Amino acid sequence: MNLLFSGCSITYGDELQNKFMERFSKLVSDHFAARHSNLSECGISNDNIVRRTIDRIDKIPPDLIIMQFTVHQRIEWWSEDGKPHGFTPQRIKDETQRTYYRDVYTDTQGAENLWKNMFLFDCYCKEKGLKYIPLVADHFDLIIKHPDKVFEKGIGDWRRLCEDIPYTFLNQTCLGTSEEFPENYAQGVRGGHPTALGHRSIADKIIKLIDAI
Amino acid sequence: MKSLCFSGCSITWGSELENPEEDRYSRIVSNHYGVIDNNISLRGVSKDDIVRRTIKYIDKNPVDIIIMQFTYVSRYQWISGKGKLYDWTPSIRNAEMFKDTPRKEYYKHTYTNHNGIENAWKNIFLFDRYCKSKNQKYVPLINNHHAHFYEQDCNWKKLCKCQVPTVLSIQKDHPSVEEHKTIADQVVRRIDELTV
Repeated sequence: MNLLFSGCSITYGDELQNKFMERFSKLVSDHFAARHSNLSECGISNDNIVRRTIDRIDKIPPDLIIMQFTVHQRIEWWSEDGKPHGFTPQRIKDETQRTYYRDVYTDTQGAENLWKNMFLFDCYCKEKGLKYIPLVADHFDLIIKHPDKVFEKGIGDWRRLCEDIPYTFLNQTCLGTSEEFPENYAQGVRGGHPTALGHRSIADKIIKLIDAI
Repeated sequence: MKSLCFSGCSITWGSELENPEEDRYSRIVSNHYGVIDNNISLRGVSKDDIVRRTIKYIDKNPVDIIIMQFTYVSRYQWISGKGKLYDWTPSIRNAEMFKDTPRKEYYKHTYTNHNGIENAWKNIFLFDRYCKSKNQKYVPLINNHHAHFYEQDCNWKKLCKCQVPTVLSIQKDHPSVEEHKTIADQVVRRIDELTV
């Protein structure tokens, strides 16, 4: 079996002492004695995760994809020279990004962009007959504590169109909040990256999800 | 053929026609096949919104073939914090309509042609895969005024690998009665190819 893991720093294994051995992609693959690839990159947007995953699948189709969607505020923006740039409100690099987050961005827009990307990827996989496991790690503490702000009471058609997609919220399902389960978070940081223990917990959940399909 | 659905902007809506409901190409095509003119187009709508509202509509109202007219790459759908949808365009009229939104900041500081082109092809990709996943037939259209943007290379276009949109020839902003007849002929040919 060939597994493909895609996501942001959570799937990448950021802040782990030995990410290649401790991250959940390795744990899940070992469990199934499967070969795997991990396409993840720190700080990237849902736009970028979806685009790079489709590009990869078109070239090397896997048997199963573990697709981790990330922080809804991030976007992929294209400059006039055709180059992609990652926008994230925690790391504003220039005036374009500052103006975008200060004046244009709304959380509803960000959340709808997450759902639109998920819907797009779902249609793509259905059309190709590919199996995938959708995970959401919108891992800033505000969202973990108040998911209703963006998810449960969110507004928008793309969210409603995703209602039948069986996505799993990683933080709520596997990790808990950083106050209740500090051992799951690197340095106990609020909304931070998972520790080795946190990755074990995520891996166990994914193994159950894979077994179910 | 039992049912068609036409979706697009003012071009498909029939703007500037004296009798849009009689003279627009959707009516001519529908008459050709003996079906009702099911036209869900809106004037000034963005490509984001065309795709969203068409998928939302088709999910509840299945049809045999969708005629999907993609619009200007520069248009953008903005969603307010309360979830209200706004279709922004670079036009002066649109600036006046949406002066209470951050539209001006968007076009001044955030919008680039390349961003618009990538977003346009991402919407085409999404709609194409949605239709393929549902075995839904559709005819994609774009108009000649912005075809050069769609012709440029971009990342989502490379991934798309879908049918090439038919380019509509229109002299001014909106088609005349005669041009709607020409568009109808083009659409009928595409539909016939799909239904052979």
